[in-house]
Parts: sequence; structure tokens; C-alpha cells
Amino acid sequence: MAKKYGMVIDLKRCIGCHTCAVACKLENNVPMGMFWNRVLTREASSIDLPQGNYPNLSREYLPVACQHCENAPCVKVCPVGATYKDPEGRVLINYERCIGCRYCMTACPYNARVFNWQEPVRIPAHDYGSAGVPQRKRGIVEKCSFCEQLVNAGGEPFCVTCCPARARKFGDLNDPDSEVARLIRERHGERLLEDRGTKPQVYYLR
Amino acid sequence: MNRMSTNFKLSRRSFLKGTAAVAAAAGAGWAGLKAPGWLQPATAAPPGVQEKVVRTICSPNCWQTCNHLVTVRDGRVVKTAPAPMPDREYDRICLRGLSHIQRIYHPDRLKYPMRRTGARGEGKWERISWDQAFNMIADKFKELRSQYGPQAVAVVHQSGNYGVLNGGYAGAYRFAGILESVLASGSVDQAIPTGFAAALGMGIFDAYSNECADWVNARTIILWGSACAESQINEWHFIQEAVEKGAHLVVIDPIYTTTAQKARTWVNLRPGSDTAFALGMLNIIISNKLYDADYALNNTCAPFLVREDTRLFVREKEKPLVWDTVTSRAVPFDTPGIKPALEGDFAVSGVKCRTVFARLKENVRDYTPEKVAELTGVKAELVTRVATLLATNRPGGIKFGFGADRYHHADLLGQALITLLGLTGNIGKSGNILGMFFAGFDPMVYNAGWLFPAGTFPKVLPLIQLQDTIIKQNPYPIKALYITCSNLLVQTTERNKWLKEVWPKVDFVVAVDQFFNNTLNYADLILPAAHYYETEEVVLAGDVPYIMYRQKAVDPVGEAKPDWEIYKGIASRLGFSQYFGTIEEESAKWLDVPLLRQQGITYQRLRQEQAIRFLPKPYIPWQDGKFKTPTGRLEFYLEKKVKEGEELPVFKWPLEAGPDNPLAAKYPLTLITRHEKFRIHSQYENQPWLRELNPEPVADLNPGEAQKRGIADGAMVEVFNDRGHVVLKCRYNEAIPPGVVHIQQGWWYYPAGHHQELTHANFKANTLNYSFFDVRVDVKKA
Repeated sequence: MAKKYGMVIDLKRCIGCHTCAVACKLENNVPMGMFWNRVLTREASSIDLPQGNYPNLSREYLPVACQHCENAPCVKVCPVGATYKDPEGRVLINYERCIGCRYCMTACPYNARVFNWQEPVRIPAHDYGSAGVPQRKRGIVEKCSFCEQLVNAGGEPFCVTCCPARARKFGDLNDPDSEVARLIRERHGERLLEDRGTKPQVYYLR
Repeated sequence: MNRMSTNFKLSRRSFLKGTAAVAAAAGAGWAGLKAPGWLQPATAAPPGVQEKVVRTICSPNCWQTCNHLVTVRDGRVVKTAPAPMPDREYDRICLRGLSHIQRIYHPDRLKYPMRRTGARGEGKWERISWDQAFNMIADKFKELRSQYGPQAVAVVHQSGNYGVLNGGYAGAYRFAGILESVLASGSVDQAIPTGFAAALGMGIFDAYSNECADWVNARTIILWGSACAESQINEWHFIQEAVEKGAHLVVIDPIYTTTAQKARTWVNLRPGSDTAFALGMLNIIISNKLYDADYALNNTCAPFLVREDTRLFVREKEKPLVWDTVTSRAVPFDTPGIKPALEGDFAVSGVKCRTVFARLKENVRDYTPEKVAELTGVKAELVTRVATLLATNRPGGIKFGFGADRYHHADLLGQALITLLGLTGNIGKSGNILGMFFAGFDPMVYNAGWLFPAGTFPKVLPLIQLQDTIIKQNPYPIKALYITCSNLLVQTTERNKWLKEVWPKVDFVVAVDQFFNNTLNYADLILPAAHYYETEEVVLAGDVPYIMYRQKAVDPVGEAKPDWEIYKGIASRLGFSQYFGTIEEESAKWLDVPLLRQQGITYQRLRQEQAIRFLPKPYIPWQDGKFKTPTGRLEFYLEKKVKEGEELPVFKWPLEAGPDNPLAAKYPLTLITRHEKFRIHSQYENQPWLRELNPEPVADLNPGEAQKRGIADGAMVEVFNDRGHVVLKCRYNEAIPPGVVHIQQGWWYYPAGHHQELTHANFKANTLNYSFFDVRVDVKKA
């Protein structure tokens, strides 16, 4: 059977430290002002703010990047076929084809895509991250690729490698013995906005 | 729990809202980022580029000493990743360690030696050569040394780097020892460990706890004033694994931190009241007989007899006596075949005595849960619950952070915590956390020969006494400061005193760093320090059981030099070049200590393997119940503190933070300056990615406190007291209790003033500790 890559994020473990967000920027040469992967504090107007009144409080972090949906709305609306579903179940972008119409951004219910409004600004100015990361220029959309360059070489997404809380797992959802499949089964993995019918391949454990 | 995903209540709006919060800062300006060179679009990396991966180490004072694999492409660092450790559970990195490329190639990086041309603090500099810089320093040092003696110079360091030669440790010791200068050093966070380690007979930063990897076996974990899910992120997963295996996590912290959010029991006590809570726990454990009597009798000082008159142990040939219930007489504690009494009043040669345990019982008698609830502001049943957990849900442990440490009298909390752990029989068991795991300083301590090869020594001055020493010019006539591994004006208290009273008395300030931070701005000569990745050396372990070696990944940017090379340049002009060999030679000599030699850990081998375990696996000290004290027992009764009435833990409100403090009327809020996840002290403060997430300093206030003062969310406020002020934005934050204002520590600059203007340098004679949180302030609209 073909692979279907997916990710599992254990929210019980997540400590909202943003290590995944920064790891992603580093590995994928993401410019200033953009995040492919970001950590939200649920219902908060500013990161880390809790819900409730002192001392009766709660707080939950929610790391969000591309959900690599099985039924991906972004793929359906792309007028030029730049966004596509690859044979291993990933939603990828052919940056050469993207015309910057941003239909995909409108279609994505997860707000997981970012747009290069201007010439990308990078600090430092040289390209960083893995050598195999595609270039993106002004006027195109970009997003998480499950670190395609690392996974194709037998590795895993960099956010998974770096997570200090060991909250992120990656693998083949089609393999019932994979750690991700097992966790989803045993811990009742949930998906974001399931009612939209997008069938995300990123699952959350609570 | 309802597993339906509708629980998530997520709308598209919440994603947008979250993005706004995270990305609002994007595009916020950093000084220097507007330089046109930095706005060039990235160009594609040509195929077939040269790449290498180097193993090196990130070593600031979170003490996580993460080993990094650094990818270098075409001579530039392009990636950092966690390196595989000998025990994979210690593989680690964090958001700060992932941002090093921005530190190395930051547009504001100090690249050349520079001499001040304007007034101090004006920020006018001119570039000079290293040769000029070395000559300037050597000439000035010579002049001052001949006029006032060698102690006219003070080498000042803090904890900015755990490298042996280039960090604020061995290299600085040798440099100061050769010069016979003052060495202003030592931790400024050491009150709890001072009280804690004394009972063990250990140094305050010795490896007295089980290693982190063993914490997963704990069943009760108390994190006392520790927000380790942010400040020591890579220790967190061990605690989390213990929780997943069923451990009960207690977090004691006034603030609802991320760590507190993960706790099953959160004790949100009043700032500065921690010792009262600990005494309440002792009260419950003693009055409900939850202690481990065997352990207390055989492995601690609990049965030792204390004279009623002098409050010292009754001794015979140096050995403390106990009351043998079999023969009804006092005998040396280690007499075979005796059954010592744990409690009771006895007469020994006509002198009234009681056991340590009986005295402790009396000391904590008044700290009933109800009384503790009154003092700490938490529910009485919490005292009982936490005490019962520690004593019965074993093995358990207490990890202290430095949150509760930053108050006057925090040494007493350390004494209380070690007493709790001793009486509950948790020590020496797998799963125990004995305060904190810190492995790194042993080899250094035992290599005094390397530190002081000329037989001359520095005058070691606790950093906390440097201010007053300079102002009084007594006991040392300090006229020149050489500051390294320290952003002194951001990480010490009473900033106004530094600038108004200390600085005018100092003719010459040299500061070594990577950026024009707040301290460099007030220096006369600034020297560019190499980054962690730009040099090679031995690195001291923090909370990992390894001796480690960093390799050099790239050459230093600009003309930056490793600290060791700077010492060498200065020393050679003063005629001491023989003491500053190459990094390879000196590292090999430094490593030549018995502890490492007997394990076959040589320089060659270390350079090859880069991380070698030097502690047994698993590292669980005290399994034999023998301690490093004169009696071999856990001596939580400190005879040396009888004078202060603090031989056993007692509760005293700190200098300012207590609720009935005379200052409370004028300054109703206490200031807590917590360590958050975006910095290590003041390091990484200007990292663009981290500033995207955490753009500017804010004063976190409980909305109730803010509204009382007519302060709107986001309004500019002034936090002030008699010592100074700071101006910044207010943020409504329910995680902060009423009565507290919180500012993240480590910010270099504010719109006006600085949070370190508000703090003070009062310390207890026995604990050289800044009470950073023991500070009263008020807040008003700016």
C-alpha cells in the first residue's frame, strides 16, 4: 500500500515553547514575518495568556501548521495546479507554478499558509536550513511540507526532531503498526474542524 | 472526558486571532536590521555546495549544555540540530539554541575592538586594532597596579558561558590569579542551595541529586518555584514521563506558569511565604507520624542530643551523642547495637538535652495547616495533601528552581526542603529528586593546580559585594573592571547605584561580549567575543552526566576572539605569556584530574567522542545512606547557625515582600522578574525570531490591579519605587496574582529606566544571594 504521511501532536505534552516554530523557520529557510508552524494559545489575545480568573485558570497550547488534508480545499481551488497532493499523501506546492492568487489561503480553514508580500527578508541574509529546500520568491504562497527534503532522505520533520517535550510524532498513517497509527487508535486522536470534511492528516491527542 | 472534537470549539476566527498574536511583531524594527545589506533577497544555493557537519555545544546558564550538530555550508552556519548523546534521553535543543545563526550573523554583532569616543553611555565608538586594544589594557593595568597594587583591577564574570577556558570559570580564574587581581564572581542565585547542600556536606553546585534520567521513576514530584517547562525546557520531558507513569506533580508558584498548568496540584502561595508552607508540611509529617523513623534514626541527625543551654550537640571525642533506650544513657551516635531515642528530654552529665527531632517538632508545632493557610494564602488542605504525598507516595522528590530563591531568608527554605526529604526517607532511592541535578563543577574544583599555576591567587570577592567595595574602595582599591560572560548592568541589582556611584569611581571599564548590550554601552573599551560555535574547548556539564568538548564549527565573525586568546594577548604584554598556552595544551592539562583520569578520560579521547559520561549510570547518590558530613549523617541541624536562631528551619518574612511589611502601604505590589522561554538571562534578547514571538517588554498585571489604577490593557505604565523606575507597556494577565507585577527578566532596554533600578542588593551574611523578587513597587499610568 502507498504511504500516507501524517503527524500526531500530544497536547498533554506540549508546553507551548515554540521550539517547533523556530525549528521550522530554520530548516525551511522561512523569512522574517512568516511562520509555517505556529503555536497558538487557545482563545488568547496574546501568547501564553490563560483563560479564567486567578486562581481558577486553564491554558492550552495548539501548534498549527498545514494539516496535509486528505480532502484538501486548497488543492481544489488552485487554478494552476501549483498545490497538489503527492503520492505519499502530502499537500505540496510547486513554487514555480504558483501565481500568487491566494485562493488557497482563502480556502484553508486552518490559516496555515503564508504569502510573500515583498521580497523575503532573511536574518541572516544567506539561505539557511537544509540544502534541498526549494526557493520561494516574492508573490507566492508557501507552507509546511512535512519537511519533504528530510523525509525523502529517510528522516523526519525537523519540528519532530527538536520538540523538547517529545510531543510530536511522524509516520505512515496507512501502516497500522506505525507509532502514529497506534497513538491515534489508542488515544483517540482528534482532528481540527472535522465538520469541514477536510480530513486532516495531523491528529491531536488531549 | 468527552472525546468529541466539537470540544475544540475552534473557529476559523481563532486561527486568525492566534496568527495575529504571533505575527503582530513581525516587521517590528530591530536596531540595525534596516541596514540595506540585510534586506537583500536570498539567492538560490548552487548545487554541489561544500557542506560539513560539526558537533559543538550551546552553553549558557540554563545549564542544559545542549550538544548541537551544526551544518556549515560554504563556510557559514546554516543549521543547528540536536546531537545524539551517549544516552539518547539527553538529546536536546530548544528555540534559543535553534536561533544561533541569527546570533552569529546578527547585523549588530560586535566585530572589532572599539574605543569610546563620546561620554560613557553615549554610544560613540571608534574601531581600533587588537594590538592597540591589548596595549591600552596592558598600559592601564600596569599604571594602576604600580599606583594602587594588583587589586586595583577586578575581573568580573557571570555565567554567560560554561566553556572551561572561555567561559566565566577556569579561564577567568587563571587570568585573575596570575594578575593577583580581584575576581568578582560566584553565583548570585544560591540561597536555597546554601541551606540545602549544607546538610549533605556538599558544595552548593555539586552533583547531589539523582540524574534527570532517573526522575521518570518518581511517584511524587514537587517543583518548588521552578518553571522548568520554560527555563530548563530539556528537563521537562523527564518530569512529564514520570507523570505519564502516574506520578503526582505538585507545582508551588504564585504565578500560573506553563509548568503550573501541567500540575495536578498547584500551590499558588503568596510570594515569599514558601518556608511557611514547608514548615506546615513538616508539621503534618511529624504530627501524623508520616516520617520514615528508621531512616531518621540511622541516617540523619534526628536523634542527636542538643544541649538546651548552648543549642550545640553534646559530644564525646567529637562525636555527637544519642540517647540509647536500651542502656538509658547517652552514647556516641555510631555505637553498635544501640536503640537511639528519636524524641525526648534527657540529662547528660547534669546538662539538659533534647533530640534534634524533638526540637524540630517544637519548632514546627505552630505551623498548623490553618496557620499556614493564613500566612501563605492557600487552602489548609493543600498543606496536608502535599505533605502526605511526599511522605507516603514514594519515591518522591523536590526540585527547587530559583523562583523561591530570590527572597531574603531563602536559605531557610533550603534547610526546610532538605529536612523534608531526609525525614521522608526519599533520599538515595531511584526516583528521588534532591533539589537540582548539577554535575559540572567537580572536576574544576579539584584542579586548583591548573587554576593557579604561578602560586599566586586572585582575591575572590562575591559579585554581590562588588558595588559596595568599589564605592568604599575598601577592602580593595578597584579602579578598573574587566567584564566578561556578563551583562552586568542587566543581571545585577541597583542599576542606578552602578551608574551614579560605582562607575564614576572606576577609571577604566573593559567589557567583552558579542553585542552592544546595556553593559558594553557604559564601557570604555569593548572587545568582540567569539560565539560558542567559533572556538573549541572543554565544556562543563550542567544537568547532564558528561564531560564534553565543543569543536569549532566556523572561524569567528569579523575580528572576534575567544576569551582565552584575549587573556593571552593581555597577559603576554604584562610578562605572563608562559601561563597561556594553546587551547589544546591547556585543555589537556585541565582535564588531568583524578576523577577523570581513573576513568580513562583523556583529552585525545574527549576530542574524539566529545561527550563522555563521568558519573555512574544510573547516577543515584546516597544509596548507602552515608553523607559527606563529619558524622556521615544528613545533618539538617546546622550548629553554625545557632547565633541567628536558624539551626533548624524557621519562617521569617523576607525584607520587602511580606504582606505586613512597612513598605506595603506605599508600594502595594511585589515585583517578580521571571525567567521565560525566550532568553537565558539576558542572552538571545535581540534574536529576531525570538522577538517575533516576544516582541517587547511588558508589565504583566492582574486586570483587577490594573483597573484599580485606571490602567488600560496595552497602556504605557511606570513601575516605580524609591530606588528607581521603568516605563513599559502593561499587559492584562490573569496568570499573575493580585498584588504582583511581573516583568520578564533580561531585557536590555526599555522606553525609560530599567527593571534593575527597582531591585536591591541586600543579602544575608551567610548567603551571597540577590533577592531579585523581594522587591516592592507600585504602578501608575506613564
